Amino acid sequence: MNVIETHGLVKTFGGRAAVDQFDMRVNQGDVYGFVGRNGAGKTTVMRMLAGLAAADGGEVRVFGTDPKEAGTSRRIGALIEAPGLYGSMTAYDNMMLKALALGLVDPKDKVRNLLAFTGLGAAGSKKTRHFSMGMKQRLGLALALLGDPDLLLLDEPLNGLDPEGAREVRQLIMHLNDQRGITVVVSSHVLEQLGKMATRYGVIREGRMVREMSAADVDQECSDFLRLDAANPTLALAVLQERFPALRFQSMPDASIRMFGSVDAGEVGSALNEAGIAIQGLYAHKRDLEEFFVEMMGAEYRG
Amino acid sequence: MVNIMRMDVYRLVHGKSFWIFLVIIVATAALATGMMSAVTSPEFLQSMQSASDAAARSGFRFSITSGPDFDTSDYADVNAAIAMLSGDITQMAYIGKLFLNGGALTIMFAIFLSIFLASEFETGFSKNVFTVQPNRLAFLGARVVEIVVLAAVFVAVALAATLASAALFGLDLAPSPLPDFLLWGVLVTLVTAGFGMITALFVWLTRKMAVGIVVGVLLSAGLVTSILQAILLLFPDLMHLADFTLGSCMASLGQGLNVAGGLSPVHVACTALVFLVASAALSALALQKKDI
Repeated sequence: MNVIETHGLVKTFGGRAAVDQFDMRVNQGDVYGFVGRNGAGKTTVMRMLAGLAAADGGEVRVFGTDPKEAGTSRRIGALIEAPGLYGSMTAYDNMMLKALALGLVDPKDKVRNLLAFTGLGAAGSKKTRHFSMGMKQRLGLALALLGDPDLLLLDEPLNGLDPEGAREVRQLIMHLNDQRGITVVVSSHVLEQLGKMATRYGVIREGRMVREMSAADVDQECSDFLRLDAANPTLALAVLQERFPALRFQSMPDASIRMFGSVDAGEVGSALNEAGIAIQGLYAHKRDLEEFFVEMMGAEYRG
Repeated sequence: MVNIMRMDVYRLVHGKSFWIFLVIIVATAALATGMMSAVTSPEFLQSMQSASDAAARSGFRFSITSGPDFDTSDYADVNAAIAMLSGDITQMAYIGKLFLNGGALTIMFAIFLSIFLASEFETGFSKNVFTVQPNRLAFLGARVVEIVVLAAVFVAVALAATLASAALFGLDLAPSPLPDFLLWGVLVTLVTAGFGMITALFVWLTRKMAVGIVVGVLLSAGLVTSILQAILLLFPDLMHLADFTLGSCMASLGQGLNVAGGLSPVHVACTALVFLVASAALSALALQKKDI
């Protein structure tokens, strides 16, 4: 079942399309890593999913309905951009405000439990203006969790966290997904942490969805590959595809060819020599997650 | 809607600004009434008269008026005026002089409302509110009720503090019949809420506390009404339109109820309600159109 589904979503600001014909699908139980450069449109999409911004075109469905419907909005917990907090009030009071707005039964207990769950049990009586960035992020997460949502929209929840804090928040998100079955959409520039929790990914560039893929797809694409620079790349690709049908090939914009799978560089060289194709370069390469996504987010990516 | 109101009551009670403004109102009432009581006391009047008499006997001549006809009897005239003022002024007129005619109460209310409403957007807490309550009209409904109730609280505190201070300092105010006094209080509340609703409209349009404060203060101080009156001087046939402003209504209420030359209670109530409803309608548009 799709928890989130968008079709041809459009959002413009002053005539400029921040989100343009954006399609997205998030399944029940996914931890969906939402990746894109700054200004690519991640936050705008998140705001439309949370019902905080209206789309100028297209359709957005969350749990099969408009996210602004009362029954749906209560199933969404959101931490978008900075956690909105009253600095002159305590963490407990900030939480109580949202708990009362939600009309929760026994709000005091729920607030105390969530503060303890997010590691802020001892800081509940502290004014949030004295909180570190990491504490604010945790409190933002606690606020998003009030009302036991079925979907969490987390926009850069790891911002401002030290490595230990980032690890704890990641474990918290994975625990929520695993134990409570909460579907999570999380955007982050900390790709290392994202890679450890995401089960699916979506890559946005200039307001458009470039590609959606599973974590398994990403693992496969990040695997070792051979890079070939040949005098005649088109012919070289045809020769190699015929000779090595078990391999997967990718033509790159710079005319190089990438070969994925179990392959020996010597065999490749021999095959090309036999076909009379000059080899300009043949290198073994391994991509990490950052390289993979940066390439996809960048202008040179062809998909 | 009820949940939003419960949230706001919690914020009012646990925040500081609401209490600070109530303390300012009480302090203003106490300070002003204490001073009035002092300057209108027989002892003070007597000492002023004695001082002026003594000065005259020793050859000095003081006066308030200027020009060749100055006269030490000025003091006696002023003292008589103060004595008459303290003796004949009604409760409504006295409260009007303290809080309504200069716009003190509505200025404080506008500043308080700007802080209360805009901080929600400036801190970003509104994201939490609107994910919980995506129906902007329900949000607006709760806030309109709150603005009227808060206006009633501000007015009630101002009235109670002034009357209590007058009793404490022994200032004699001519009592008004209770039904008239209550009706007057309701009208002052409605006009104050009208000012508050316009302030809220500008806060929701701009999401800026400073804009709300500037607009609220300019309106409450009567600047807009004064400008309108100046413009209407050019069109004498339309001069009566100036009576349909919140500033004119508050100025009339500042004199009391059903006073000669004042506006009728029905006129004041209708004008205030029109401003309330129109501001709420425009606020609904602003809230529906703008993203959070």
